[in-house]
Amino acid sequence: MIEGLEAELRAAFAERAHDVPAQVGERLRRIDYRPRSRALSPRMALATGAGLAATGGAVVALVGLGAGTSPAFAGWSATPTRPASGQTTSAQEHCTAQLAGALHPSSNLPAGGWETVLTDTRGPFTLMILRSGGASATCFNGPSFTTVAANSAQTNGGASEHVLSGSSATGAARGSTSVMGLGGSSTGPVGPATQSHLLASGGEPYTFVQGQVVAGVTGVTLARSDGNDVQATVADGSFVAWWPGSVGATSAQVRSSAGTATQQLTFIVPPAGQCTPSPSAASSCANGSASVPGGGGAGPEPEGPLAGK
Amino acid sequence: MMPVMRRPSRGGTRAEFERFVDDCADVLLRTGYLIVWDLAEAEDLVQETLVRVARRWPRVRRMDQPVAYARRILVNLAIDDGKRRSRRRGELEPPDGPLQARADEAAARVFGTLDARAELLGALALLPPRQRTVLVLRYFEDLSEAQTAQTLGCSVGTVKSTASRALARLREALVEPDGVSPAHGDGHLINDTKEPQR
Repeated sequence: MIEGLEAELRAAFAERAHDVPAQVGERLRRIDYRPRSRALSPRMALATGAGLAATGGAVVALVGLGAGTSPAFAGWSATPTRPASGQTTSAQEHCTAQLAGALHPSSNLPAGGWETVLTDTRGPFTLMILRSGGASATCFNGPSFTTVAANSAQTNGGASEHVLSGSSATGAARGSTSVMGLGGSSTGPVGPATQSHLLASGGEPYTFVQGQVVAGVTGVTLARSDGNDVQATVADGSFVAWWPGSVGATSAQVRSSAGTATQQLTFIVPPAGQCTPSPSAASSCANGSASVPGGGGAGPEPEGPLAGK
Repeated sequence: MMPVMRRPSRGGTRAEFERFVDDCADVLLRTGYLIVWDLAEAEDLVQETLVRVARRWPRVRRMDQPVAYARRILVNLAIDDGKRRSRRRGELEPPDGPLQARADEAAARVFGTLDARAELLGALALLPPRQRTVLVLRYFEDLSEAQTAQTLGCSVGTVKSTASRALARLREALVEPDGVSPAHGDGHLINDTKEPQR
């Protein structure tokens, strides 16, 4: 009887569906799909449709990113994600290899001993803060690129900035960095912090925020000026977050055992010669920058992640 | 299987969409997995589906059944994907039979006769994407023939004939040379077609 096969089919489908690991669904839920909040006007819809038709094969790539997201950052998530198997290890290997391979005698950067103090993963992207002695480095690793910027302590007590390498998709980024909380002027739980508006080599903008928080802070969520939130990764008194686009952060919701507090963030462009803070102890000074020949093909630039301007 | 979505209210667009994803991601994933038979492919398809829904969310959120819209996108993506993979598999495999079937034979030689459930799953894996999709919608999602037709954008008659062909292929695959089905020793596994119990 057909009922027998129906029952078998239902049971077989249920059994196979049961094999789906829960974490796959979790991964899907963590993605920021960026739902459109307003319907397109007819004229806009028509223009968009015509544009999509004209671009043909590019449509799928653009559709897969959600509105306003660059293809270079496909898979980015507003909430830190659990790293895929081997993701952190692979990123760390790329980062330390570039740190070791792109050293220049004048950089004062240590050849080894880099330890990861903070790791932020968002989909396929891994951002690491590393430290070795008095030097610190920020490494941004994605499916097709690794970009490293490092600060080394100087004998004069300052620090210098080194954009060591950039390759492929995001290359050596250029942009501007603004700061808040210089000289201990911050009165809230968020201490010295930097916000960098950067451009990938393909011209795609992205924004990178890192800073320090007081002891006991367990979570930081940054509110952007467009009303969207980005949850930062917090570890050892530091936080870091980044997102595609050039929208800035305006406030931070800070969680601790004492509760939740909101702090307004006011970033300013530091004057020339002013040092910018870094969550990993070292700071960089706009007039103390030095660049080091890069190992990734893109030309080294003094302006990059963490660079003062 | 799919949760019934309430008609969303105005405002809170982003929160509404996140609730929609919370409610539907798992079931879309399972449906996609059963159609394309590959977890990584299914995850990609669901992600693509949700991105497309997000882009049209102001319109989709006003639908009575946003999930039905998402399912329709998923199914169409999955069938297209399945066809591509079938073509690739056809190019790679020798004409004497699919790789999966030969793997099953090898496993059977090693471990003895495959059990009935494994036989059925193996036969399902070899169905053309559209036929497997109809069975998934009818027997996993528990959709009616009319709902299945709406999802696939075809007529009820097409759903009936596709399901009939799919069941016939399963019957052929399951019935052993002596006419006895490994799933049911009485040999009467499939004799007719009938609407699933609703």
